[in-house]
Amino acid sequence: MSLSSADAAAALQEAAGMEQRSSRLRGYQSASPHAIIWGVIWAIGYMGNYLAPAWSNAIWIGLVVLGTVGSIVAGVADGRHAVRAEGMIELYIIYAVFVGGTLAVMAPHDVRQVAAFFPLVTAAAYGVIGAFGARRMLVIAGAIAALTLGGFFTIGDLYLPWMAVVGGGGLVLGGLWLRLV
Amino acid sequence: MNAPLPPASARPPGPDEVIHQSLRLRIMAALNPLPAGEMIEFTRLRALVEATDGNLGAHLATLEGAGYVATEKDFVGRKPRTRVVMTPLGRAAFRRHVAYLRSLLDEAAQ
Repeated sequence: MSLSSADAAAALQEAAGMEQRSSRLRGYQSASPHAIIWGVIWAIGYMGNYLAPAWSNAIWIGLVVLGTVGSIVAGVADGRHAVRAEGMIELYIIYAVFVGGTLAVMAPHDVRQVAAFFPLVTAAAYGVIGAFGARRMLVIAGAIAALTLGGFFTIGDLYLPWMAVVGGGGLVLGGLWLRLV
Repeated sequence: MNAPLPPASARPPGPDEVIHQSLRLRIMAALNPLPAGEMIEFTRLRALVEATDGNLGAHLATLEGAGYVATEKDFVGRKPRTRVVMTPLGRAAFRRHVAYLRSLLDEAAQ
């Protein structure tokens, strides 16, 4: 069998395109369980915050610990093993320091501001990943940011249930979408 | 895909005739970025390479015959599941084939 350089170029282009697609979908597959876990955490947390405001700190601390453990387990089970698990832990430390530091410095006084801040940071993180070619992450980032800001400026007392249903539910749906080829 | 080109003297003598066929090339390219030993479900691979059940099955059988992929069948509950993994031999053959293709382009550019 002999090939021309045009055949070779076409074959290389086909292979490169498929490798890129496979790699991107593998990344989505890795991100999917984390989005689902944190979507459920948001849904429970915001609804708990609304229904039992006196318990909100305890509820959120418990849920964040649960979500972090769940994400680490999902990361390890994902198949990229130790390196990924370490990366996940670093990611959570960076996220916690950034969010904690910003909240301390900006000192918001309204529970709605705090409720909006976490999803906006999450949307920014998804957006940064999306900007480097993961288009589905960009769509999820846009949806989270739009729902968070839209609700913040238009919905008054029902903002926490809004974030539970639409924010948490949206993140779960986004996570399910990431699993699809 | 970004490995440095081998010197002309080390160029593979020809294309890998098993891999060169278009769908088999796509299958190998889809499997190559996965971590060594990681399996992918038949249904996911089928959607990824945009093939029909029968077509994918036939080409996987050819690749398996060459020792480039391995398949594993099991059950999840009562549902049968087929998974595919690229073997080390397959990974090496894919790299050689890509190196050959790149060397053709390199020569044409000179």
